[in-house]
Amino acid sequence: MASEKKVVFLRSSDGEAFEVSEEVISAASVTIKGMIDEESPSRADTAATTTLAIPNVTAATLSRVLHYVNKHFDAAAVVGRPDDYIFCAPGDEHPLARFDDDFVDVDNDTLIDLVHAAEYLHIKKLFDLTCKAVADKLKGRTIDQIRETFGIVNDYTVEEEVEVYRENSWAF
Amino acid sequence: MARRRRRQRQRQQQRWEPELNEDVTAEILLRIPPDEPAHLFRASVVCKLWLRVASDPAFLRRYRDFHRGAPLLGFFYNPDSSGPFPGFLYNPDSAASWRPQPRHGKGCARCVYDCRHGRVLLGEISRSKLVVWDPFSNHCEELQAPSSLCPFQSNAVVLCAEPGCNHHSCRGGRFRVVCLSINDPDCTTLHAHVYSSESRSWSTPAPAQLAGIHYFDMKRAALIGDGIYCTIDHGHRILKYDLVEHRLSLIGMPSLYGNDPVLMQNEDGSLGIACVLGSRLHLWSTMVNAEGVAGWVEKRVILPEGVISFEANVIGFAEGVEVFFISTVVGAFTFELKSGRVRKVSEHTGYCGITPFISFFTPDRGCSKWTK
Repeated sequence: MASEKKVVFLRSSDGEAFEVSEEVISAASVTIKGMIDEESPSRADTAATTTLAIPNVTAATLSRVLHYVNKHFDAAAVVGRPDDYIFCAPGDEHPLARFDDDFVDVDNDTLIDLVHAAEYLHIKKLFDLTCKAVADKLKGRTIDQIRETFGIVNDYTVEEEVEVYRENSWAF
Repeated sequence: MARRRRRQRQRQQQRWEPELNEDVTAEILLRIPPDEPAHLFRASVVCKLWLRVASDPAFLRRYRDFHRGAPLLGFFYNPDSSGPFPGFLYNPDSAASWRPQPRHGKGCARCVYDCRHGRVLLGEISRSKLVVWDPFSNHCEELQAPSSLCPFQSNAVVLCAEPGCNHHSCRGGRFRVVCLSINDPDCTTLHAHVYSSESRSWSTPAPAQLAGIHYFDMKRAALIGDGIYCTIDHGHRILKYDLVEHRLSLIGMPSLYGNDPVLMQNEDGSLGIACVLGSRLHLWSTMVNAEGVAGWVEKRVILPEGVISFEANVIGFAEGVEVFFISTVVGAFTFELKSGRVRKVSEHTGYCGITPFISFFTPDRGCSKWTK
Protein backbone atom coordinates (compact mmCIF):
# COMPACT_ATOMS: atom_id res chain seq x y z
CA MET A 1 0.00 0.00 0.00
CA ALA A 2 2.69 2.41 1.04
CA SER A 3 4.52 2.01 -2.22
CA GLU A 4 1.52 3.18 -4.20
CA LYS A 5 2.16 6.69 -5.40
CA LYS A 6 -0.41 9.35 -4.72
CA VAL A 7 -1.53 11.42 -7.64
CA VAL A 8 -3.43 14.67 -7.98
CA PHE A 9 -5.35 16.07 -10.90
CA LEU A 10 -4.82 19.65 -12.04
CA ARG A 11 -7.67 21.24 -13.93
CA SER A 12 -6.63 23.93 -16.40
CA SER A 13 -8.55 27.16 -16.97
CA ASP A 14 -10.15 25.57 -20.04
CA GLY A 15 -11.27 22.51 -18.13
CA GLU A 16 -8.76 19.85 -19.03
CA ALA A 17 -7.46 17.67 -16.17
CA PHE A 18 -3.88 16.44 -15.92
CA GLU A 19 -2.61 13.71 -13.67
CA VAL A 20 0.65 14.25 -11.82
CA SER A 21 2.44 12.62 -8.91
CA GLU A 22 1.67 14.48 -5.71
CA GLU A 23 5.24 14.11 -4.55
CA VAL A 24 6.68 15.50 -7.77
CA ILE A 25 4.35 18.47 -8.09
CA SER A 26 4.77 19.30 -4.38
CA ALA A 27 8.53 19.40 -4.81
CA ALA A 28 8.18 21.64 -7.87
CA SER A 29 5.37 24.07 -7.11
CA VAL A 30 5.06 26.01 -3.89
CA THR A 31 1.54 27.06 -4.86
CA ILE A 32 0.26 23.53 -5.48
CA LYS A 33 1.99 22.20 -2.39
CA GLY A 34 0.08 24.85 -0.43
CA MET A 35 -3.20 23.76 -2.05
CA ILE A 36 -2.52 20.10 -1.29
CA ASP A 37 -1.63 20.89 2.33
CA GLU A 38 -4.90 22.78 2.69
CA GLU A 39 -6.83 19.84 1.28
CA SER A 40 -5.00 17.24 3.35
CA PRO A 41 -7.17 17.10 6.49
CA SER A 42 -10.32 16.46 4.51
CA ARG A 43 -8.81 13.69 2.40
CA ALA A 44 -6.64 11.94 4.95
CA ASP A 45 -8.87 8.90 5.30
CA THR A 46 -10.33 8.74 1.87
CA ALA A 47 -9.00 7.11 -1.20
CA ALA A 48 -10.52 9.83 -3.38
CA THR A 49 -8.17 11.62 -5.70
CA THR A 50 -7.88 15.35 -5.38
CA THR A 51 -8.54 17.65 -8.29
CA LEU A 52 -7.13 21.15 -8.02
CA ALA A 53 -8.34 24.01 -10.17
CA ILE A 54 -5.58 26.04 -11.79
CA PRO A 55 -7.67 28.90 -13.10
CA ASN A 56 -4.85 31.01 -14.53
CA VAL A 57 -3.19 28.40 -16.73
CA THR A 58 -4.50 26.95 -19.98
CA ALA A 59 -4.28 23.28 -20.88
CA ALA A 60 -1.59 23.91 -23.50
CA THR A 61 0.61 25.70 -20.99
CA LEU A 62 -0.12 23.37 -18.09
CA SER A 63 0.81 20.39 -20.21
CA ARG A 64 4.18 21.99 -20.98
CA VAL A 65 4.72 22.92 -17.35
CA LEU A 66 4.05 19.34 -16.25
CA HIS A 67 6.43 18.04 -18.89
CA TYR A 68 9.12 20.29 -17.35
CA VAL A 69 8.19 19.35 -13.82
CA ASN A 70 8.32 15.62 -14.52
CA LYS A 71 11.69 16.03 -16.17
CA HIS A 72 13.21 18.11 -13.41
CA PHE A 73 11.55 17.00 -10.22
CA ASP A 74 10.80 13.33 -10.66
CA ALA A 75 13.73 11.74 -8.82
CA ALA A 76 13.40 8.60 -10.93
CA ALA A 77 13.73 10.55 -14.14
CA VAL A 78 16.47 12.98 -13.14
CA VAL A 79 20.00 11.90 -13.92
CA GLY A 80 22.60 13.37 -11.62
CA ARG A 81 21.84 15.93 -8.97
CA PRO A 82 18.78 17.89 -10.00
CA ASP A 83 20.20 21.30 -9.20
CA ASP A 84 23.50 20.90 -11.00
CA TYR A 85 22.26 22.08 -14.30
CA ILE A 86 21.71 25.67 -13.32
CA PHE A 87 25.41 26.10 -12.73
CA CYS A 88 26.39 24.77 -16.13
CA ALA A 89 27.74 27.22 -18.65
CA PRO A 90 26.14 27.21 -22.08
CA GLY A 91 27.55 24.32 -24.03
CA ASP A 92 28.27 22.25 -20.94
CA GLU A 93 26.88 18.82 -21.40
CA HIS A 94 24.30 18.21 -18.74
CA PRO A 95 21.37 15.91 -19.34
CA LEU A 96 18.87 18.68 -18.64
CA ALA A 97 20.71 21.59 -20.27
CA ARG A 98 19.68 20.39 -23.72
CA PHE A 99 16.14 19.73 -22.53
CA ASP A 100 15.93 23.26 -21.11
CA ASP A 101 17.23 24.81 -24.33
CA ASP A 102 14.60 22.95 -26.34
CA PHE A 103 11.92 23.67 -23.77
CA VAL A 104 12.20 27.45 -24.16
CA ASP A 105 12.71 27.30 -27.92
CA VAL A 106 9.07 28.24 -28.48
CA ASP A 107 7.13 31.19 -29.85
CA ASN A 108 6.87 34.36 -27.78
CA ASP A 109 3.26 33.90 -26.68
CA THR A 110 3.97 30.40 -25.44
CA LEU A 111 7.07 31.57 -23.63
CA ILE A 112 5.26 34.40 -21.91
CA ASP A 113 2.47 32.05 -20.91
CA LEU A 114 5.12 29.83 -19.34
CA VAL A 115 6.59 32.81 -17.45
CA HIS A 116 3.19 33.63 -16.00
CA ALA A 117 2.42 30.00 -15.21
CA ALA A 118 5.79 29.57 -13.47
CA GLU A 119 5.15 32.74 -11.50
CA TYR A 120 1.62 31.72 -10.53
CA LEU A 121 2.58 28.15 -9.65
CA HIS A 122 5.72 29.40 -7.94
CA ILE A 123 8.15 27.05 -9.70
CA LYS A 124 11.38 28.92 -9.20
CA LYS A 125 13.60 27.00 -11.60
CA LEU A 126 11.08 27.27 -14.40
CA PHE A 127 10.56 30.96 -13.67
CA ASP A 128 14.34 31.55 -13.83
CA LEU A 129 14.61 29.61 -17.06
CA THR A 130 11.74 31.30 -18.84
CA CYS A 131 12.60 34.85 -17.68
CA LYS A 132 16.15 34.32 -18.91
CA ALA A 133 14.80 33.09 -22.24
CA VAL A 134 12.67 36.24 -22.58
CA ALA A 135 15.67 38.41 -21.66
CA ASP A 136 17.68 36.62 -24.36
CA LYS A 137 14.98 37.46 -26.89
CA LEU A 138 15.57 41.16 -26.28
CA LYS A 139 19.04 40.85 -27.77
CA GLY A 140 19.55 42.25 -31.22
CA ARG A 141 16.02 43.68 -31.44
CA THR A 142 15.14 47.30 -31.99
CA ILE A 143 12.77 49.03 -29.61
CA ASP A 144 9.91 48.69 -32.09
CA GLN A 145 10.68 45.02 -32.57
CA ILE A 146 10.66 44.46 -28.81
CA ARG A 147 7.27 46.16 -28.54
CA GLU A 148 5.91 44.15 -31.44
CA THR A 149 7.38 40.88 -30.21
CA PHE A 150 5.89 41.22 -26.77
CA GLY A 151 2.76 43.17 -27.64
CA ILE A 152 3.70 46.18 -25.55
CA VAL A 153 1.92 49.48 -26.07
CA ASN A 154 4.22 52.47 -26.41
CA ASP A 155 2.92 54.97 -23.88
CA TYR A 156 5.45 57.72 -24.55
CA THR A 157 4.36 60.83 -26.37
CA VAL A 158 6.42 61.60 -29.46
CA GLU A 159 8.23 64.39 -27.59
CA GLU A 160 9.00 62.17 -24.62
CA GLU A 161 10.27 59.40 -26.83
CA VAL A 162 12.53 61.75 -28.77
CA GLU A 163 14.01 62.98 -25.53
CA VAL A 164 14.55 59.50 -24.09
CA TYR A 165 16.26 58.48 -27.32
CA ARG A 166 18.39 61.61 -27.24
CA GLU A 167 19.48 60.98 -23.64
CA ASN A 168 20.55 57.47 -24.53
CA SER A 169 21.58 57.97 -28.14
CA TRP A 170 24.72 55.85 -27.77
CA ALA A 171 22.65 52.75 -27.09
CA PHE A 172 20.87 52.76 -30.46
CA MET B 1 -8.37 38.17 -41.56
CA ALA B 2 -8.98 41.52 -39.93
CA ARG B 3 -11.12 39.85 -37.31
CA ARG B 4 -8.40 37.31 -36.65
CA ARG B 5 -5.83 40.06 -36.22
CA ARG B 6 -8.15 41.94 -33.91
CA ARG B 7 -8.72 38.81 -31.89
CA GLN B 8 -4.99 38.24 -31.71
CA ARG B 9 -4.45 41.78 -30.57
CA GLN B 10 -7.18 41.44 -27.98
CA ARG B 11 -5.59 38.24 -26.77
CA GLN B 12 -2.21 39.93 -26.51
CA GLN B 13 -3.61 42.91 -24.72
CA GLN B 14 -5.54 40.70 -22.36
CA ARG B 15 -2.40 38.81 -21.66
CA TRP B 16 0.07 41.64 -21.46
CA GLU B 17 -1.58 44.69 -20.09
CA PRO B 18 -2.87 43.14 -16.91
CA GLU B 19 -0.25 40.45 -16.59
CA LEU B 20 3.14 41.83 -17.55
CA ASN B 21 3.26 43.46 -14.24
CA GLU B 22 6.13 45.27 -12.66
CA ASP B 23 7.39 42.19 -10.84
CA VAL B 24 7.59 39.99 -13.93
CA THR B 25 9.14 42.81 -15.95
CA ALA B 26 11.76 43.26 -13.25
CA GLU B 27 12.54 39.55 -13.27
CA ILE B 28 13.01 39.59 -17.05
CA LEU B 29 15.13 42.75 -17.11
CA LEU B 30 17.17 41.38 -14.19
CA ARG B 31 18.41 38.63 -16.47
CA ILE B 32 19.70 40.86 -19.24
CA PRO B 33 23.43 40.09 -19.33
CA PRO B 34 25.58 42.99 -18.07
CA ASP B 35 28.23 42.51 -20.75
CA GLU B 36 26.06 44.33 -23.28
CA PRO B 37 25.35 47.67 -21.64
CA ALA B 38 23.07 48.90 -24.41
CA HIS B 39 20.47 46.19 -23.81
CA LEU B 40 19.25 47.44 -20.46
CA PHE B 41 19.16 51.01 -21.73
CA ARG B 42 17.22 50.00 -24.82
CA ALA B 43 14.79 47.98 -22.77
CA SER B 44 14.18 51.03 -20.63
CA VAL B 45 12.88 52.92 -23.66
CA VAL B 46 10.25 50.33 -24.59
CA CYS B 47 7.56 51.83 -22.38
CA LYS B 48 7.24 53.80 -19.17
CA LEU B 49 6.80 50.70 -17.04
CA TRP B 50 10.06 49.24 -18.31
CA LEU B 51 11.82 52.55 -17.78
CA ARG B 52 10.46 52.78 -14.26
CA VAL B 53 11.69 49.27 -13.49
CA ALA B 54 15.09 49.70 -15.15
CA SER B 55 15.90 52.97 -13.44
CA ASP B 56 14.64 52.03 -9.99
CA PRO B 57 17.61 52.15 -7.58
CA ALA B 58 16.40 49.04 -5.73
CA PHE B 59 16.18 47.11 -9.01
CA LEU B 60 19.63 48.32 -10.04
CA ARG B 61 21.14 47.24 -6.74
CA ARG B 62 19.55 43.83 -7.25
CA TYR B 63 20.77 43.72 -10.84
CA ARG B 64 24.38 44.34 -9.82
CA ASP B 65 24.19 41.80 -7.01
CA PHE B 66 22.51 39.25 -9.26
CA HIS B 67 25.33 39.49 -11.78
CA ARG B 68 27.96 39.69 -9.04
CA GLY B 69 31.19 41.02 -10.56
CA ALA B 70 31.03 43.83 -13.08
CA PRO B 71 31.94 42.80 -16.62
CA LEU B 72 35.12 43.70 -18.47
CA LEU B 73 33.87 45.97 -21.24
CA GLY B 74 37.22 46.63 -22.87
CA PHE B 75 40.57 48.34 -22.62
CA PHE B 76 41.73 51.91 -22.93
CA TYR B 77 45.19 52.40 -24.35
CA ASN B 78 47.48 55.27 -25.20
CA PRO B 79 48.13 55.44 -28.91
CA ASP B 80 51.72 55.73 -30.18
CA SER B 81 51.12 59.06 -31.83
CA SER B 82 49.73 61.74 -29.57
CA GLY B 83 46.11 61.47 -30.63
CA PRO B 84 43.48 63.55 -28.92
CA PHE B 85 42.27 60.69 -26.80
CA PRO B 86 43.15 57.18 -25.66
CA GLY B 87 41.98 54.37 -27.88
CA PHE B 88 39.48 51.75 -26.79
CA LEU B 89 39.50 48.04 -27.56
CA TYR B 90 36.43 45.92 -26.92
CA ASN B 91 36.69 42.83 -24.83
CA PRO B 92 35.95 40.11 -27.41
CA ASP B 93 34.27 38.00 -24.74
CA SER B 94 31.76 40.72 -24.04
CA ALA B 95 28.90 41.44 -26.38
CA ALA B 96 29.43 45.12 -25.70
CA SER B 97 28.85 47.47 -28.56
CA TRP B 98 29.18 50.45 -26.29
CA ARG B 99 31.65 53.01 -27.51
CA PRO B 100 33.13 55.68 -25.27
CA GLN B 101 32.21 59.09 -26.57
CA PRO B 102 34.58 61.38 -24.75
CA ARG B 103 34.39 65.10 -24.67
CA HIS B 104 37.70 66.22 -25.98
CA GLY B 105 39.85 68.62 -24.05
CA LYS B 106 40.80 71.91 -25.54
CA GLY B 107 42.81 70.32 -28.29
CA CYS B 108 45.11 68.72 -25.73
CA ALA B 109 46.26 65.16 -25.96
CA ARG B 110 44.97 63.07 -23.10
CA CYS B 111 46.60 59.93 -21.86
CA VAL B 112 44.96 57.37 -19.63
CA TYR B 113 46.43 56.66 -16.21
CA ASP B 114 43.84 54.55 -14.54
CA CYS B 115 40.32 53.25 -14.60
CA ARG B 116 38.63 52.03 -11.47
CA HIS B 117 35.24 51.92 -9.84
CA GLY B 118 33.57 53.15 -13.04
CA ARG B 119 35.78 56.21 -13.48
CA VAL B 120 38.59 56.87 -15.90
CA LEU B 121 41.58 59.03 -14.94
CA LEU B 122 43.10 60.94 -17.82
CA GLY B 123 46.10 63.23 -17.93
CA GLU B 124 46.58 66.33 -20.06
CA ILE B 125 50.32 66.60 -19.94
CA SER B 126 50.69 69.98 -21.64
CA ARG B 127 48.28 71.69 -19.23
CA SER B 128 49.24 69.60 -16.17
CA LYS B 129 45.60 68.66 -15.70
CA LEU B 130 44.13 65.44 -14.45
CA VAL B 131 40.63 64.63 -15.63
CA VAL B 132 38.25 62.25 -13.86
CA TRP B 133 35.84 61.07 -16.52
CA ASP B 134 32.65 59.05 -16.18
CA PRO B 135 32.38 57.41 -19.61
CA PHE B 136 28.67 56.76 -19.19
CA SER B 137 27.43 60.16 -18.18
CA ASN B 138 30.36 61.79 -20.03
CA HIS B 139 30.84 63.98 -16.99
CA CYS B 140 34.40 65.28 -16.61
CA GLU B 141 35.99 66.82 -13.57
CA GLU B 142 39.27 68.62 -14.18
CA LEU B 143 41.89 68.89 -11.47
CA GLN B 144 45.06 70.88 -11.59
CA ALA B 145 47.80 68.27 -11.13
CA PRO B 146 49.93 68.84 -8.03
CA SER B 147 53.08 68.51 -10.10
CA SER B 148 54.23 68.20 -13.67
CA LEU B 149 52.78 65.23 -15.54
CA CYS B 150 55.87 64.55 -17.61
CA PRO B 151 55.90 61.02 -18.96
CA PHE B 152 57.75 58.63 -16.68
CA GLN B 153 57.81 61.21 -13.89
CA SER B 154 54.43 60.36 -12.44
CA ASN B 155 51.69 57.81 -12.07
CA ALA B 156 48.17 58.35 -10.81
CA VAL B 157 45.21 56.38 -9.54
CA VAL B 158 41.51 57.16 -9.15
CA LEU B 159 39.41 55.36 -6.55
CA CYS B 160 36.05 55.51 -4.85
CA ALA B 161 36.13 57.28 -1.48
CA GLU B 162 32.96 55.74 -0.02
CA PRO B 163 33.79 53.59 3.00
CA GLY B 164 32.71 49.95 2.74
CA CYS B 165 31.53 50.38 -0.86
CA ASN B 166 31.17 47.31 -3.12
CA HIS B 167 31.70 49.62 -6.12
CA HIS B 168 28.66 48.32 -7.93
CA SER B 169 27.04 51.73 -8.09
CA CYS B 170 29.42 54.36 -6.76
CA ARG B 171 29.90 56.22 -10.03
CA GLY B 172 29.18 59.85 -9.41
CA GLY B 173 29.98 59.51 -5.72
CA ARG B 174 32.96 60.76 -3.76
CA PHE B 175 36.35 59.84 -5.13
CA ARG B 176 40.03 60.27 -4.47
CA VAL B 177 42.93 60.69 -6.85
CA VAL B 178 46.41 59.69 -5.79
CA CYS B 179 49.26 61.23 -7.75
CA LEU B 180 52.76 59.85 -7.28
CA SER B 181 55.56 61.91 -8.78
CA ILE B 182 59.28 62.58 -8.92
CA ASN B 183 59.78 66.30 -8.88
CA ASP B 184 63.41 67.10 -8.46
CA PRO B 185 66.04 66.77 -11.15
CA ASP B 186 68.13 64.42 -9.01
CA CYS B 187 65.28 61.92 -8.89
CA THR B 188 65.68 61.38 -5.19
CA THR B 189 62.47 62.78 -3.74
CA LEU B 190 59.10 61.24 -4.42
CA HIS B 191 55.83 62.80 -3.53
CA ALA B 192 52.41 61.31 -2.98
CA HIS B 193 49.49 63.73 -3.24
CA VAL B 194 45.89 62.75 -2.53
CA TYR B 195 42.97 64.69 -3.97
CA SER B 196 39.60 64.52 -2.28
CA SER B 197 36.48 65.29 -4.33
CA GLU B 198 34.77 66.38 -1.13
CA SER B 199 37.24 69.06 -0.13
CA ARG B 200 38.21 69.68 -3.77
CA SER B 201 41.80 69.97 -2.72
CA TRP B 202 45.07 68.08 -2.60
CA SER B 203 46.44 66.86 0.70
CA THR B 204 49.78 67.91 2.10
CA PRO B 205 52.19 65.76 0.13
CA ALA B 206 53.85 62.74 1.67
CA PRO B 207 57.48 63.09 0.63
CA ALA B 208 59.96 60.27 0.71
CA GLN B 209 63.65 60.23 0.05
CA LEU B 210 64.02 57.04 -1.90
CA ALA B 211 67.37 57.07 -3.59
CA GLY B 212 68.01 55.75 -7.02
CA ILE B 213 64.55 55.99 -8.53
CA HIS B 214 64.75 57.07 -12.11
CA TYR B 215 61.32 56.80 -13.61
CA PHE B 216 57.81 55.39 -13.35
CA ASP B 217 56.82 52.62 -15.71
CA MET B 218 53.86 53.55 -17.90
CA LYS B 219 51.68 50.85 -16.41
CA ARG B 220 48.53 51.01 -14.39
CA ALA B 221 49.00 50.78 -10.64
CA ALA B 222 47.36 48.05 -8.55
CA LEU B 223 45.10 48.85 -5.60
CA ILE B 224 45.12 46.15 -2.93
CA GLY B 225 43.56 46.91 0.42
CA ASP B 226 44.91 50.29 1.47
CA GLY B 227 48.01 49.96 -0.70
CA ILE B 228 48.64 51.43 -4.13
CA TYR B 229 51.45 49.64 -5.93
CA CYS B 230 53.22 50.60 -9.14
CA THR B 231 56.35 49.38 -10.84
CA ILE B 232 59.28 51.70 -11.32
CA ASP B 233 62.58 51.64 -13.15
CA HIS B 234 61.56 49.16 -15.82
CA GLY B 235 60.03 46.74 -13.35
CA HIS B 236 63.03 46.59 -11.04
CA ARG B 237 61.14 47.67 -7.95
CA ILE B 238 57.66 48.37 -6.68
CA LEU B 239 56.64 51.65 -5.11
CA LYS B 240 53.96 51.29 -2.47
CA TYR B 241 51.81 54.12 -1.17
CA ASP B 242 49.82 53.39 1.95
CA LEU B 243 46.54 55.33 1.87
CA VAL B 244 46.00 55.09 5.61
CA GLU B 245 49.50 55.78 6.84
CA HIS B 246 50.10 58.23 3.99
CA ARG B 247 53.53 56.73 3.51
CA LEU B 248 55.70 55.65 0.59
CA SER B 249 57.96 52.61 0.60
CA LEU B 250 59.81 50.37 -1.82
CA ILE B 251 59.44 46.65 -2.36
CA GLY B 252 62.02 44.46 -4.10
CA MET B 253 61.24 42.21 -7.04
CA PRO B 254 62.19 38.64 -7.85
CA SER B 255 64.66 38.32 -10.70
CA LEU B 256 62.77 38.83 -13.93
CA TYR B 257 65.82 38.94 -16.23
CA GLY B 258 64.98 42.37 -17.52
CA ASN B 259 61.39 41.54 -18.47
CA ASP B 260 58.55 43.91 -17.72
CA PRO B 261 56.13 42.68 -15.06
CA VAL B 262 52.54 43.59 -14.35
CA LEU B 263 51.21 43.90 -10.82
CA MET B 264 48.06 42.08 -9.91
CA GLN B 265 45.91 41.10 -6.99
CA ASN B 266 45.90 37.37 -6.37
CA GLU B 267 42.71 35.54 -5.52
CA ASP B 268 43.78 35.38 -1.87
CA GLY B 269 44.11 39.17 -1.86
CA SER B 270 47.90 39.24 -1.85
CA LEU B 271 50.05 41.32 -4.17
CA GLY B 272 51.14 39.37 -7.21
CA ILE B 273 53.37 39.77 -10.23
CA ALA B 274 52.85 38.41 -13.72
CA CYS B 275 55.66 38.36 -16.24
CA VAL B 276 56.45 36.57 -19.48
CA LEU B 277 59.74 34.72 -19.28
CA GLY B 278 60.72 32.79 -22.37
CA SER B 279 57.48 31.41 -23.69
CA ARG B 280 55.63 31.16 -20.42
CA LEU B 281 53.61 33.38 -18.17
CA HIS B 282 55.01 33.28 -14.63
CA LEU B 283 52.96 34.34 -11.62
CA TRP B 284 54.43 35.25 -8.25
CA SER B 285 52.84 35.98 -4.95
CA THR B 286 54.11 37.79 -1.87
CA MET B 287 54.67 35.60 1.14
CA VAL B 288 55.65 36.40 4.68
CA ASN B 289 57.96 33.87 6.32
CA ALA B 290 58.13 32.86 9.99
CA GLU B 291 60.43 35.79 10.79
CA GLY B 292 57.92 38.18 9.31
CA VAL B 293 60.05 39.01 6.27
CA ALA B 294 58.13 39.37 3.06
CA GLY B 295 59.42 37.64 -0.04
CA TRP B 296 58.20 36.32 -3.36
CA VAL B 297 57.16 32.82 -4.19
CA GLU B 298 56.53 31.60 -7.72
CA LYS B 299 53.01 30.28 -7.77
CA ARG B 300 52.25 29.18 -11.28
CA VAL B 301 53.83 28.89 -14.67
CA ILE B 302 51.38 28.86 -17.54
CA LEU B 303 51.75 28.36 -21.25
CA PRO B 304 48.93 30.27 -22.90
CA GLU B 305 48.48 28.30 -26.08
CA GLY B 306 49.35 30.01 -29.30
CA VAL B 307 50.08 33.42 -27.82
CA ILE B 308 53.51 33.84 -26.48
CA SER B 309 56.34 34.29 -28.84
CA PHE B 310 59.71 35.53 -27.72
CA GLU B 311 58.71 39.14 -27.85
CA ALA B 312 55.54 38.82 -25.84
CA ASN B 313 54.94 41.15 -22.96
CA VAL B 314 52.16 41.10 -20.42
CA ILE B 315 51.06 44.71 -20.10
CA GLY B 316 47.79 44.69 -18.24
CA PHE B 317 45.62 42.77 -15.82
CA ALA B 318 41.89 43.15 -15.23
CA GLU B 319 41.22 42.40 -11.59
CA GLY B 320 38.01 40.63 -10.63
CA VAL B 321 37.65 39.06 -14.06
CA GLU B 322 41.28 37.82 -14.05
CA VAL B 323 42.12 38.64 -17.64
CA PHE B 324 45.65 39.44 -18.81
CA PHE B 325 46.41 41.62 -21.78
CA ILE B 326 49.45 40.38 -23.70
CA SER B 327 51.18 42.32 -26.45
CA THR B 328 53.21 40.31 -28.94
CA VAL B 329 54.97 40.79 -32.25
CA VAL B 330 51.93 39.35 -34.02
CA GLY B 331 49.24 41.37 -32.25
CA ALA B 332 47.57 41.74 -28.87
CA PHE B 333 45.74 39.01 -27.00
CA THR B 334 43.66 38.55 -23.91
CA PHE B 335 44.30 35.56 -21.71
CA GLU B 336 41.66 34.49 -19.22
CA LEU B 337 43.39 33.01 -16.20
CA LYS B 338 40.51 30.86 -14.98
CA SER B 339 39.51 29.25 -18.26
CA GLY B 340 42.86 29.49 -20.04
CA ARG B 341 41.07 31.01 -23.03
CA VAL B 342 43.10 33.16 -25.38
CA ARG B 343 41.52 35.72 -27.71
CA LYS B 344 43.19 37.98 -30.23
CA VAL B 345 41.97 41.53 -29.72
CA SER B 346 44.11 43.49 -32.11
CA GLU B 347 46.62 43.20 -34.94
CA HIS B 348 48.47 46.17 -33.53
CA THR B 349 51.81 45.39 -31.92
CA GLY B 350 52.91 48.58 -30.21
CA TYR B 351 50.90 48.65 -26.97
CA CYS B 352 52.91 49.78 -23.99
CA GLY B 353 50.23 50.00 -21.33
CA ILE B 354 46.53 49.36 -21.19
CA THR B 355 43.83 50.08 -18.68
CA PRO B 356 40.96 47.64 -18.36
CA PHE B 357 37.48 49.11 -18.14
CA ILE B 358 35.38 47.02 -15.76
CA SER B 359 31.98 48.39 -14.98
CA PHE B 360 28.27 47.87 -14.72
CA PHE B 361 26.40 50.10 -17.07
CA THR B 362 22.87 50.71 -15.94
CA PRO B 363 20.29 53.41 -16.59
CA ASP B 364 20.38 54.83 -13.10
CA ARG B 365 20.50 58.46 -13.99
CA GLY B 366 18.56 61.11 -15.76
CA CYS B 367 15.84 59.41 -17.67
CA SER B 368 13.39 58.79 -14.87
CA LYS B 369 11.30 61.91 -15.29
CA TRP B 370 8.80 60.21 -17.63
CA THR B 371 7.99 57.58 -15.10
CA LYS B 372 6.89 59.82 -12.29
